[in-house]
Amino acid sequence: MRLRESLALARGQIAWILALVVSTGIIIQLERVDFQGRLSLLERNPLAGMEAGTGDAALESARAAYAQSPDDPLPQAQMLTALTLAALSDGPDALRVEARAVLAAVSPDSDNTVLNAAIALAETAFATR
Amino acid sequence: MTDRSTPPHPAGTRFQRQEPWEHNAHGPLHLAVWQFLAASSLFFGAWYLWWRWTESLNWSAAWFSLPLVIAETAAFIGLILFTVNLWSPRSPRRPELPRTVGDTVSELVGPDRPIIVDVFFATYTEDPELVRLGVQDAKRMEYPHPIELQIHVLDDGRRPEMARVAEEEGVNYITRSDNVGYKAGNLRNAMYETGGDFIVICDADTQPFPNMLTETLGYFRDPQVAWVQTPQWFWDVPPGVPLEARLRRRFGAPGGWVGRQVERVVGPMNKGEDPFANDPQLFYDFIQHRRNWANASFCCGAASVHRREALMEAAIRSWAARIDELTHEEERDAARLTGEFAMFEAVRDSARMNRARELDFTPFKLHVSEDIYTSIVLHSDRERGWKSVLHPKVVSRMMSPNDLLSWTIQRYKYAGGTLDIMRNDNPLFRRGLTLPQKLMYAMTFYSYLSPLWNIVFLCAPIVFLFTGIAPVATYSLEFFLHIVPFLLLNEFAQLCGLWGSSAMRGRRWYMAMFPLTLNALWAVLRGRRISFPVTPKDRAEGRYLRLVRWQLLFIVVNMIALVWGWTAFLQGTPGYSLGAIIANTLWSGNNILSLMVIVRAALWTPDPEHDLPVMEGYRHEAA
Repeated sequence: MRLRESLALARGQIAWILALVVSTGIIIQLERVDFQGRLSLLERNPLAGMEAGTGDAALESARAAYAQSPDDPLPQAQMLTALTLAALSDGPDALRVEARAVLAAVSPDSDNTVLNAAIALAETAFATR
Repeated sequence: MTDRSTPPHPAGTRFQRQEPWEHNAHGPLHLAVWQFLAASSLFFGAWYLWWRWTESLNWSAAWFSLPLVIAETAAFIGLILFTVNLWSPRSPRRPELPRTVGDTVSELVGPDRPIIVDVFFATYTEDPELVRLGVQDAKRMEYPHPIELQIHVLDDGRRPEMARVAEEEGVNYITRSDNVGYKAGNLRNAMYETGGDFIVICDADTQPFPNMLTETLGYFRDPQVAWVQTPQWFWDVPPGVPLEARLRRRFGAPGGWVGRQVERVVGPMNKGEDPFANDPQLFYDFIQHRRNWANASFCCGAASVHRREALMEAAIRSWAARIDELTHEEERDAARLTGEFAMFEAVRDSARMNRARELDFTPFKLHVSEDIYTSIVLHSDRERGWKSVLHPKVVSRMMSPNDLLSWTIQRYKYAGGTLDIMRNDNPLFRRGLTLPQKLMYAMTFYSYLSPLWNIVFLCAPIVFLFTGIAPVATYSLEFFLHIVPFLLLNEFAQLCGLWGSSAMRGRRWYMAMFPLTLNALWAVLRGRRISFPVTPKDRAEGRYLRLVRWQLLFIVVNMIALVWGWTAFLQGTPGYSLGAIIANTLWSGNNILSLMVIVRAALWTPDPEHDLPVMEGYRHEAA
């Protein structure tokens, strides 16, 4: 009886603790979802993998993605950006042929702003215009 | 003890049964868990505040961010003091009852004899029939050894009908020609006219139980125990309308059945139970009782037993100290005037004599909070080492203010009186008190400063919801990871430490009464005198929305702010992240719920079937 009475007296506090736990859970869940969203955005980012400045690895990764989906604007953008970065460090000559091939394959009037930016960068780096 | 009225339900809550609470004696394991949780909560709280001050301030909105972090820090200091207060229930052992006066003193002067106890009933305007009930109960007090019980009615109203009641009951009637000092002056006057070894202080509505002396006098075997305070239990607290009865009224028998099933699962749910949070269990059974280890439980007036010698001796010491103080002041003035830095001994004696003639000798300080004042004086008498005890068992019953007007008068008096002592005779700077005693008194005084930070807590979610400006650098996961462990541990600590009481109710009222406390604080800061009005014992009819206008304003603004904030969030307005809006909705909702308790109290009317029989029990008894 004492336990029941004490529990009844503590109802308000127990409800408050539950509200705190539930709302914290929701907030953490939302943060996690948001975090995963950011992660997937990062994965879809043409610059993904290039942050550490390992140009060769980035280029290899971009080549693999481009080979897998050559018509997808994101791998196209990733490929062009990787080529531009490599050209900046090693010079454009070795990669010019490959860059021109990719530029020829992509649609220049794409709606994808990331791809358009990557095209513009590559055209400047490889002086194709 | 409670056979005077038939409770509306045989089971239900103790308010329905009109039974006092039983002392919550937590076992050693329970205490260890409480102390672990409390210490962890303070550790995580300190960690959170450190992070708040060093990493999370939103300097682009410092006008908002800084007051909030200061308010959080101030509240955390209060939490530390509260934790120190509740830390341990260690209390003095109660020895066997003294047989004679010789058992209660270290050195007996004169021959040994039975103990003489004076019982004082201080009254002014209260119903004489109410006082009669207390007197009749006092006459029934038991003691296993010969004892001389002298009951006195101290009538400051000089009423013939009160004198008649005293005569009919065969007890002494004491009155005086003026009302100087109100209740304190009344008690002082009675002390001059009586001579018992111990004094039981009762208000006009106090009805002592037969075991009051057998429960308390044992402590006085220790000649250093100056007083024993017992809990003030209000036996007329409205029990409210049970869910079952409410649903039965609306939906008939099926509704009643549903209500009964719900209450069977979650416990009694009485609407309007203790609408003014008058039940003082939390205060006596936890806050005051857990001051015993520090010898710092203070006297609350009614339902206390005092050693006359302690009151008189403390008064003499205070009186002598005040004469010395005034003589020194006079000496300094004379030195400034004459350039003579050493006053002749004869002149000094003469000055001292003059001050002694002018200065009133008062066993009770003439102050609105005379009980706490007297406690401080006795506790700080290091030479005698007076002790106080809070005996946790309820041994009397009294009546509570059952309308918001009376409640406001009473609480304003408490707040103003305590703050007045803090301003003018702060025990923290008083010589003689030990560190634990100072901490306990600090906790009492500090709690009355709470509106200064509570108002920031009330405004903060409103500001965010209206502006989208966050008081923290960001409502990110990092913020929640810092604050949530502290909040949860604090809740669990309080749940464990205050197990057996309704801590949430106390906390809500603590927040809800901010305008009253702020008002008292402002009055004291301006040097206004806090008056001594008698708390009305009869319920005043009416709705008191004017008394809760600030709380109403905050509730309405909070609601508008919630609508505003969510609209801004749904429209994608910058600054309104989902985490921030959830956190502030929870905060704002909690503020609304806290403020609602006093608004409900302002609108409350007793239920004729469930509340009135309990509230008016004493009338039936008197009849």
